[in-house]
Amino acid sequence: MGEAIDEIQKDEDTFGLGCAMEYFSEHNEIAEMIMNLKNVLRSGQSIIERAYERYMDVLKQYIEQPHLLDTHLETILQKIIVIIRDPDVDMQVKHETFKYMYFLINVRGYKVIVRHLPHEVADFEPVLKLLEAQDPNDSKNWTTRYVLLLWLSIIVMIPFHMSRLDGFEEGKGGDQKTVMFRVMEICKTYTVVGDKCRDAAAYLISKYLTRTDVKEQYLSSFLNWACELSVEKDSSSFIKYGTLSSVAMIIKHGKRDDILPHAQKLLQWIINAEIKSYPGCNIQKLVYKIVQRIGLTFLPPRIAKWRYMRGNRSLTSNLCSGDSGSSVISSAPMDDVNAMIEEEDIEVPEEIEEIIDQLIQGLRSADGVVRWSAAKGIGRVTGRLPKELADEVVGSVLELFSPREGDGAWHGGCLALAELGRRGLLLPQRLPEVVPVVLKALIYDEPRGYASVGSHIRDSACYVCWAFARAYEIDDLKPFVNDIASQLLVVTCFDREINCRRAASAAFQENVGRQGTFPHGIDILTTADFFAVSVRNSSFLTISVFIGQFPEYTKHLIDHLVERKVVHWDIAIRELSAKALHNLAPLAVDYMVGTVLPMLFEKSRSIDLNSRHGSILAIGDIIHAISQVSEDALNESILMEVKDLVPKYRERHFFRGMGGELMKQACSDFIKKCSLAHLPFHNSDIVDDWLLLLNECLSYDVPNIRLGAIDALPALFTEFYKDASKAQMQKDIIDKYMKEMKNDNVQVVRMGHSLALGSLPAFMLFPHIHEILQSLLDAAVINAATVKWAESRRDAIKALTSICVTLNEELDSAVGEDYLKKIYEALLAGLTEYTVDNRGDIGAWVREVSMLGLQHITLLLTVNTNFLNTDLMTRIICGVSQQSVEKIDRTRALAGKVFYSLIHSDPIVPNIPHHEALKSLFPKDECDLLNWNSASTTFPRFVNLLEFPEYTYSIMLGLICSVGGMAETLVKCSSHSLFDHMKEKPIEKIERLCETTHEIFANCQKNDRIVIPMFRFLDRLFSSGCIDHILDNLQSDFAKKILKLVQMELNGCKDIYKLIDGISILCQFIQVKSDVCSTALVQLSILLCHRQPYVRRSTSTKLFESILVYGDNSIIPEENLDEISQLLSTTNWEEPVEVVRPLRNKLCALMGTRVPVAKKK
Amino acid sequence: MGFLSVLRKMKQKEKEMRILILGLDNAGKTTILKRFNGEDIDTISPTLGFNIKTLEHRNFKLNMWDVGGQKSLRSYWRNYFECTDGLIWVVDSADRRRMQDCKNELHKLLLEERLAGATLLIFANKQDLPGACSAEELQEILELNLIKTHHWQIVWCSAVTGENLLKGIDWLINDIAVRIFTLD
Repeated sequence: MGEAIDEIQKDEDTFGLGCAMEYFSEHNEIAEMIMNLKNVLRSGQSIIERAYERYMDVLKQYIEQPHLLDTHLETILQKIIVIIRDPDVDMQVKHETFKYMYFLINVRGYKVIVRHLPHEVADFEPVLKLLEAQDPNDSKNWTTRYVLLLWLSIIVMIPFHMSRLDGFEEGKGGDQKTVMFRVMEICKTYTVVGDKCRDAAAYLISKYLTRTDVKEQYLSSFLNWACELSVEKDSSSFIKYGTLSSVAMIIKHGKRDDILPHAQKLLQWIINAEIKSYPGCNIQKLVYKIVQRIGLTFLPPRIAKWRYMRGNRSLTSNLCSGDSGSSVISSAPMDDVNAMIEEEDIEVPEEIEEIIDQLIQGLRSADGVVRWSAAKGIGRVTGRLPKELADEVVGSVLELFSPREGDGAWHGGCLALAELGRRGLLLPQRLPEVVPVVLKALIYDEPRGYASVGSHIRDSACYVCWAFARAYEIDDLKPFVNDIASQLLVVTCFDREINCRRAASAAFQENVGRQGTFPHGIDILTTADFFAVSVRNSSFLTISVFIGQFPEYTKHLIDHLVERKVVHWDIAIRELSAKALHNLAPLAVDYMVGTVLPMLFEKSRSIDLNSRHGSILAIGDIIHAISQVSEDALNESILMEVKDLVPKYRERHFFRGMGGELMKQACSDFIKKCSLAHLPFHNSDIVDDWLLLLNECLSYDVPNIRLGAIDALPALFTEFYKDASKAQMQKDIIDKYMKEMKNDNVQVVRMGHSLALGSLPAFMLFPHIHEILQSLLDAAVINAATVKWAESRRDAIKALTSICVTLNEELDSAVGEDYLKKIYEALLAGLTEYTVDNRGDIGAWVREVSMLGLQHITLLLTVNTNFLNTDLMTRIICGVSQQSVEKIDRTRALAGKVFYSLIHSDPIVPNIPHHEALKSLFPKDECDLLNWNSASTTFPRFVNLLEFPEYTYSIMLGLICSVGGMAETLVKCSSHSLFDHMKEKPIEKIERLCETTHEIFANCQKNDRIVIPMFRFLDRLFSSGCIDHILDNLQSDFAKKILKLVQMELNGCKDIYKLIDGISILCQFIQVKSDVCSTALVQLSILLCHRQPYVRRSTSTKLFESILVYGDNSIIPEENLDEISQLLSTTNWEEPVEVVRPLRNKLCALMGTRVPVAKKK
Repeated sequence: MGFLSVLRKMKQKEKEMRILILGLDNAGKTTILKRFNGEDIDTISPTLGFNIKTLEHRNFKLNMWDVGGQKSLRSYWRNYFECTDGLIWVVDSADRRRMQDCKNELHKLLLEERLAGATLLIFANKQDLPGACSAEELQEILELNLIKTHHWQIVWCSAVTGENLLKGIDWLINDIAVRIFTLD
């Protein structure tokens, strides 16, 4: 129990906060920024803006916990005030200072800041003068006006007569305006402006007009002015809002006696139809605020008698009183204190009826904000009424809960009940009426189109329950405790929305704390606390089971699921409910069998798709759960129903159309669960019927339907087709699947049946293993008819893998070495699949499952060191490590993990070349924590594999694709890793890598998947500086060989992007001081006269740039360089070929290369 | 806006209290306030206007409003009544001459409806001066026993020495904290 309290305390402290800060650590920085403002303003615009942005960024962190600023507010504000008061400071600086101050106000809230502003007599005149000097319509410096208005609002609270500020005697000042008048002018001006100053003005007015001296002179005239202005035809919405909000503020802050003379008139004004028709929830909210406050003006306040009886402000100390529920009784010196306020001698003016009427209308408003405001109004006004009248209000509120009313009224009604409840205005006699309504509201969920409404109602119903906890004596609430507690727990566990689950949990907590009579309250709270219920899955599946163990709640939880959630409109909720019922079933087996299952069968025959879908899922799950705890709990009639289900659906065509998809999925799941439950249907026809249905699903083109069936098949076979007598049937099934696999018209048929074969249980695999494997191996091969079928190849490989995994220890003996080899060949071939369609690199799926296959199967075969020989292992590691440096993040991450699991497996995978070295490059403890998704962590490790001749080719191939790729991070990480690696190596090793690069290029000619990245790779490699000494070495033929391959690629190339990349690499050859350079220049000059203008222009630009960089150092005659550059940059190369050709020829002459001649055709 | 945001707001508000310090001029209101705030009390002059201080005590945030007590200012006290949780009435226990005045002002204040429900703490201040009335005497003189509308307590103290100030404030906070919180 001590723990329980700690837990709750902890929760309270961090209520709803995402990232809590400890204290305001940057206060010095902020203060310095303010003192430095003068200097900042002397610098440029960008510095000013940057400074302000930094300031905002710092303060923004405290928006959630503004109170942390409090300890330093005084100092910071003082610094601001000094600037503002200083007459020598430029107004521009002051404007900026006000802007800073405004942001601070915005974060901390104006009411708090205002308290810290100086309010001496001496401040009055300067502030007023400064404000008067401002232009109310200047949109740039509105923050100045806003702050000054707020400042004035605290200054006007000084306890002196305004006339003492005038400096002249009344009537003797001639034309001089009195201070009182001047402030009034300011108020009126700013009440109706278009910006936020309006809000500050309303606040100022409420402080100013409620002063005794000002009130006498101006209150009446101001109210008249505001009322008239608000209803004028051409009043803008600013004017309406401004006048209404200032009136609302005045009535709120004014003394009741001062307002009373105006109350009647104001009421007439505000309930006038015209104002009610003003659009916008903000204005309507003000209307109801004013109505409410007029109501409060008519009635004197009353102090609740029980406020010292029902406990404490802080719930924590209350909880300490324990589960027994004794509330803390006040230790006040006199307990008879409140008896003095006599109850029933309150006079109630007749206007109150109108006011209550209006507020009840507000509860029905379409707008939530308005309903909230009206509900608070109801609560406050009713609080001042005598008992009988208050009870009448409760009666009217209860009328809102009729089936004819919309969801808005229900919401408003709940809010009102909560507001009444917490004030103790719902008399205990009303509880028998109120509680059932609230119980209904707690689970209100009405479908609307594709969603539903009701979460706001459920939320507010939790509020009501919370209010009950605070207002009632334990004995009053006792008769309803069980109902309220169970329903709150239903919401806690099973609400779709996180806020409702949390709200219910909070309400339950309050009840446990204050009432203490909730059964098992503390136990439940420790499990179902505010944070635990945030995760829907765990509320449904774990917390519900914990609560369900208490017999008071078990049935209620189950009933709610069956009645409301199994048939819910949201499919995710239906699925979760079925699982929840599965978990709850062991707690109430008899109830499930006797009551729940018959109800669910009833629902499974419904015409409503959601009901059928949810109930069939639930039936399957419950039966499965029951079978695990009791062998013979299911009676004959239930078994009959189970048997009937699928045939009935077929009969009624429930498997057709859109709804049929859901039903098929649900039935697959149902079949699976029935099989797992070992239902005694072994010699019944129904089993064949089930198989038929699953087989149909295998060819369906919705993935989930196929997968559902594939999931169910092994369970069905294992339970019902295992007997030796069924051997022929087994063969028929397998034959049928293999036949479907040959289908090369529809890809999904092949996909479904591949996976179906893969899912077969071992006893079915053994007799036909080679045929099955062969058909899958055939499906994994790319052939002419199915070039683009990467997905079916993926599924075939998946199936091969899962068959091997199913066979497990018998893999070797059952499959035999020949087929194992074939499987490995298929998987290794899968690693080289790069099929592309309009979705992109779909081959990646095949590569990924192939890697997984290699991983699983290899780990199964570790003992077979003969089979896993060095040759095979080299190929595997090469293939996987190549994938781990390729382009796609996801694939790379998977490859990395597979690689890692192979080198660190237990038992050890044999015959991996350089195994020990690999292990030390990838230490286990570091790699356990490695983020394999991040290119910046994986590339630097894998480039080290270049060291080992066995792996060089594969790693280089992968790196060429990545370094020559397009995505920025990928290119950056991979090229840095590679070039850094190369820079540390001696020349021979770099030459070896260059050799490998050439080898790859030569092997991949005309394969654009490699060649295009290769171009970019070479471009980056040449400019990286890693191979400078090779390029400078005239003995090396590397450049020459590469240039030759590049030329062959560009010959007759029509792909413009490839050409552009080719140009870049050609330009790189300029730095080579041999005939390679002139060959490249000839090639480039051909491109300068390419038939595509864009290619000509690109060539000229690239050539120009390269000559600038490498020209000095090349074989081009140095004296011509300037002219060459001149010619390249001034010619418009997009002009027709005939025009530019002579210029090109001149260029060739200057560069000292031969002029290309067009081939004769 | 939902129930949870109501709860959150309430939790914040429950931790705050608004306390109004009143009394005749020269009773020691500002000195008490400055004592609490740890400020220098040697240079206090009559309050012409009002002071606001925010203190943290026992995890509560106390917003203390101290208004000047001169006769001319008293009619403006009403500007500060709103939302008051606790009222501290400070008495100069040595100023026997103005006790009647003091009693009348206090009882007038208690009729104010915006102060209904507020807890009342009476500080019998200046106990360090010779000839000061004891708290028991003051209870008689100020006719405190007639007060039935408010929870009240009288505590003797000395703002100059700081004696008993904390005891008084603790009682006040306890009494406010112990009643259930409703929004108005």
